[in-house]
Amino acid sequence: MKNALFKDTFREIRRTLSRFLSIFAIVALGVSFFAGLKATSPDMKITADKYFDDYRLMDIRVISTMGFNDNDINAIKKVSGAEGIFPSYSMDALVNVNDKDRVVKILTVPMDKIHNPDKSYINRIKLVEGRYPEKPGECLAERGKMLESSMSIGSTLKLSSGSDKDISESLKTDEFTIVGIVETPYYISFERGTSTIGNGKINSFIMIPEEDFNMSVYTDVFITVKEAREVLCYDDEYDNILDPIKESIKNIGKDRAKMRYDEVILEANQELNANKRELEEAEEKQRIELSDAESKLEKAKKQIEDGEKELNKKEREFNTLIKDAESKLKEESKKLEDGEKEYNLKLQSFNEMKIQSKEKFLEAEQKIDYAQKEIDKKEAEINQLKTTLSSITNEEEKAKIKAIIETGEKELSYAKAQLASSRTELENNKMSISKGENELANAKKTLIVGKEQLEKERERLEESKKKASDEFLAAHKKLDNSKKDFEKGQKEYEDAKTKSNNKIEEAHKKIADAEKEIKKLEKPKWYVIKRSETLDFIDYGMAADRIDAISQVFPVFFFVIAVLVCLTTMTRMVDEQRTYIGTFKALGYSGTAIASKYLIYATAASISGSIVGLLVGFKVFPTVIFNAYRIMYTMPPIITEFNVFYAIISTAFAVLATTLAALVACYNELVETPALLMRPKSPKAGKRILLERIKFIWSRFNFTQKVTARNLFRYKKRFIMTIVGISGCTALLLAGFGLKDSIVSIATKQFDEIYQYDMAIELKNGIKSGEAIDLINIMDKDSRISDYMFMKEQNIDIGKGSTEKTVSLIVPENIDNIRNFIVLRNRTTGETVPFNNEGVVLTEKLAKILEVEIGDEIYIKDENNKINVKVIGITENYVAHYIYMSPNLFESIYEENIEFQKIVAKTTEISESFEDKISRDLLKDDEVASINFTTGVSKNFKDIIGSLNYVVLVLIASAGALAFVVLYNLTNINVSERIREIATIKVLGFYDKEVSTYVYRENFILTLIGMMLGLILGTFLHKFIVVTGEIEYVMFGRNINAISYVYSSMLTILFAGLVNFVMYFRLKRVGMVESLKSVD
Amino acid sequence: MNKYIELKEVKKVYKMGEVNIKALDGVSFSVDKGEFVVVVGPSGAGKSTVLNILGGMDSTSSGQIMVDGSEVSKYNSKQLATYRRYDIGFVFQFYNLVQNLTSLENIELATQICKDPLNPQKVLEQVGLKDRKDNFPAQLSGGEQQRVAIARALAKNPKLLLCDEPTGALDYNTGKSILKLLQDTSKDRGMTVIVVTHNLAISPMADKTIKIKNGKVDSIELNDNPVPVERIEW
Repeated sequence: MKNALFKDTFREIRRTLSRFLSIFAIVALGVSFFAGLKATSPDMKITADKYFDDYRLMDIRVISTMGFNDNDINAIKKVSGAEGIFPSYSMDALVNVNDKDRVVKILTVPMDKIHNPDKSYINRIKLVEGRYPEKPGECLAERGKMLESSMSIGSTLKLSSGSDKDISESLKTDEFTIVGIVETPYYISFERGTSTIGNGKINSFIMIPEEDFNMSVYTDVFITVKEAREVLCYDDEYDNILDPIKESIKNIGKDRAKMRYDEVILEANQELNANKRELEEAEEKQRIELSDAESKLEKAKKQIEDGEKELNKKEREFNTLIKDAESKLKEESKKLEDGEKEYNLKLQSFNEMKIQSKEKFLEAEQKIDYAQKEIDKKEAEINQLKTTLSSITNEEEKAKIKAIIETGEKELSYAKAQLASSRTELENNKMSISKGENELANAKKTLIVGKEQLEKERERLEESKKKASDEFLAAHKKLDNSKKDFEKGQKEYEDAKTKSNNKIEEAHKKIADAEKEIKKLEKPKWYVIKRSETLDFIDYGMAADRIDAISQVFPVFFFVIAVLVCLTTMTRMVDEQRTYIGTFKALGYSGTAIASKYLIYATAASISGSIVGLLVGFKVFPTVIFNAYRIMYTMPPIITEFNVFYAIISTAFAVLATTLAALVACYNELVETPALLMRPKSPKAGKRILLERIKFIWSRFNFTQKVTARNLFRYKKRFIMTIVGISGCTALLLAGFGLKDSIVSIATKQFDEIYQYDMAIELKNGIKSGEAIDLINIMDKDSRISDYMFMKEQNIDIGKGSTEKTVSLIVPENIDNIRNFIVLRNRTTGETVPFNNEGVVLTEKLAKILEVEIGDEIYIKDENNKINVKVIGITENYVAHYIYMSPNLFESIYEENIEFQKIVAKTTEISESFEDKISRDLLKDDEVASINFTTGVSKNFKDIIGSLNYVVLVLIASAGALAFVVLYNLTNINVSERIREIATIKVLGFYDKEVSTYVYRENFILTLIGMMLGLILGTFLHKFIVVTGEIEYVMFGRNINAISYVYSSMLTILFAGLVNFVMYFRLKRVGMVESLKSVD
Repeated sequence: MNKYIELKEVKKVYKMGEVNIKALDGVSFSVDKGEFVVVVGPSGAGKSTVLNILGGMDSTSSGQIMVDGSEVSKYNSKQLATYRRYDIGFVFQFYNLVQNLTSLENIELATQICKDPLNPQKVLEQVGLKDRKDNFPAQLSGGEQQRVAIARALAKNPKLLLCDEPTGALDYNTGKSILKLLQDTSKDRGMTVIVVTHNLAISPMADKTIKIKNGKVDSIELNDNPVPVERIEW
């Protein structure tokens, strides 16, 4: 290429940078959206695959109804394709957090392998926080609901078994301290499955060292398969690698099952025999023990009798002794009484005598006194006489007197002697009186002493009597006690006897049961589960598939619109450059050289746009969408790959479209002569439009309306392009919103409208129609359950022609009652679908896949027979495939009695705590295997939809961006095409506003028409996306909500308004002089 | 007679990147009401610029323009639009008709925004296109198109008719007839007409000929006896 031309091309780009950038932007947007969205699903799968590979998620998990012993493990180890084998333990337990029992899954951490991982370390864990356990009683936990509430590193969990078994049968310790937080590819979603304990829903998992388990057999065996890591696990190839291994493990399982069965039977029989022996021994022992006890009791009885006899004898003896003592005492007392009486008599007489004596004494004393006085008188007379004698000298007298005196003195002495003797006598008498008194006193003393003695004696007697009676009482009591003891002993003996009899009886029964059980014992069954058959894996795969589904049509359409707009822009550019092309042609440049300018321009814009689009798109869309999904899945950040396939496709398409457009446009110009080209292109002739011929309408138009109408129809290309662009964007917006509606309606319609029941109970054993089980009673009595129905649910294969599908067969107990729990209706008309014994009802999507109409026949596969049934109805349904059948029809098809193993029920409330409680209560019943609530399922589903919403939001935002760019570009083209016209009307004196309205009126009408068309187109696009995009298992809602139409219209108008607002300034800047000066 | 239009030292400098291009370097002249003025000069002398500025399509860098007592040079863009709307009729070399409108409609496009427009139909008759009123521009010859353009300008009933090389794209005879139309319009209606042309030969038909050279007025010639255009040959 010539240098000048080359330069010119690049100057052209600089000059028309806005156009270049708009092509660039549209291509970038289109490519990034197309490639980015298309690459999202593969990226998601690659990310998962890498995560699974890095953490060695098992390829195959084997579980068994009897667990695995070492022989089983060794047998598995012999499988040729297996790379690593990791036998491990797991169990469910309850942990009480915040007064609520939560079910935790306990998994194994192989302590020895954490730090030295080898190929047998499968389902590795990622330590997010904290450390690994170092000693028993330490565990790892996940950052789940349990942790959020109150548990964290350092918290201690106390586990209980949740059943009547003791947890120590399975664990060595029941207390674990959380030391670390982990993530594991084993659980990527937040669903942890169901359990038969607690409220039946596993809340979270913990991992404990292998050593802390106390189990005799392994519960799970995880296996990695050679070369499986080298392929993408979501590819079919992966399953192809796994299938033969699965098959061989299954076969081993069958062999092992037989051997294991024999082993277990042998073991059980041995144990049974041992038990029997033990029982016999126990019986013997019981016999001996009982007879011992009996003889002991006998002896005790005798002892008591002897004791009683002796006591009686002693009592008797004592009584005689006391009686003697008492009579003696009585005698004494009598004596004493007599003595007293005598004494009293004596005392009386003495006292009388004493009184007499006293009188006598007094008399005597008076006599004595008188005598004394006489004496004294005589003495005095004597003395006087004497004195007188002395004075009387007369002797006669004297003698006379003397005689007298003498006589007197004689008399006196006599009297005196007499007095003395009376006195002595008195004294003697007095003395004898006091002597008598003394004697009496002595007698009294003796009496008192005697009395005291008697009293003492009596007391002693009483004392000894009391003591004796106390002793006897004690003895009696003792005797009574020992009697009681004896009775007790006897009772105890009786009790023990019955008890041990019972025990023995029980043991007998147990043995009988065990014998029965051994007879009933089924062969262990191995379940070999591929990774691709696990719930989380499928769930995540479905999420990725949903994105893939959405990106089936949507980005393609998006891309087509983008490319179409680029094409227009490029064509327009070449058109504008007519004179220029003429000049070059005149200069003698070849057509190729001239065209190369536009080719370079187009290629530069589209390739650079593609590159930027790819770089951004491959990064942004997968990341944004995946991050929305990471709310639901525990996953490492996404790995965005440069998806060569989509990169090439989108780039090629974008580049080809723009360059071809340039080429075609160039060719159109180049065929003309330079002279013609250099002259201004004769403007497109004005023409009368069809509308003008309809006079009565046309005449009603005012001038500007006429102008607008004519303008609109004059530039057909522009008209069509604008309408296509706008309608495309509106359609994309509407499809985006509609997709959201469709996805949302899956959950709302399925779980709120179609499923009328709130709770589904799976039973452990099927029950026959009318069979009574406890659960029925419980459910009848439970006021929280307003209604319930038994049904059968079972996977069957059905087909029509060559198409065959595995579906869920639902057989309700009662064909009328089913409508209270599951609504059977036609989606479009809302009419009730008939349900009777004539045939089956299929769900809509299923009918569509099988291409079945009402009245057609399908076949049901029963083992190898194909049984034809008529389809009597097709019912609205969004999730999974069902076939509904009446119980009568079931029995006639399968030729067996129907057994129901599921109960659907309505509850009075749907709060979480309510459901938790009711589930806990019902799970106590042995018949119940699991309980699910539609609120839980629907919540789970709503979560999925929540993240899909996010994706749809990305779609809508992208469509919005495209709408803006497209509108901007088209308006831009419109303005530059009409720049002369605009300048002219400006010269004529149109104000800025009038100029804008002159242009906008058309834009507005074009937008409106485009929008209307877009709404129609969008409706079809939506239908198309939904039909091509939905995954097999799910039917998206088919309807678009009215509000979505409003939203998409509003957004289109908003973008159009925005573009016009921006354009207003551009119009304002249109220079009259420059625009009119020359002819381009 | 008062000077109807007066330009005083009008300068116009275009900034092209870092280079200043002086398009007008102090142009002064005046035009009386009803005068037929021809502005001549070689290409790039600045004659179109004068016309554009006078017509309110461009602004001055400095200097003063008075039209009928108003200072147009001080107008803002809105006032200029009003000025164009009511006071100016413009005729271009390439007619600048709206392709999508018929002759009559092209005139109506102008008259519908005027205060006191002439009857479009009549004006069209006056320019001799009675029969072509429902034709689209593409269906008309160049002369006819230019007549429509003139009719459009006239119908606005402007104070001033400005023509930028009106005959530039026309053949000799057609050009002549257009010039005649302009001359007659000026004479019959007393319309002030300013015609920009590089064709010096037509200056005899003008009341006043202004020669512009290098952005300056080279000379102003008054012609008391303008010659009808039919008698001019070039």
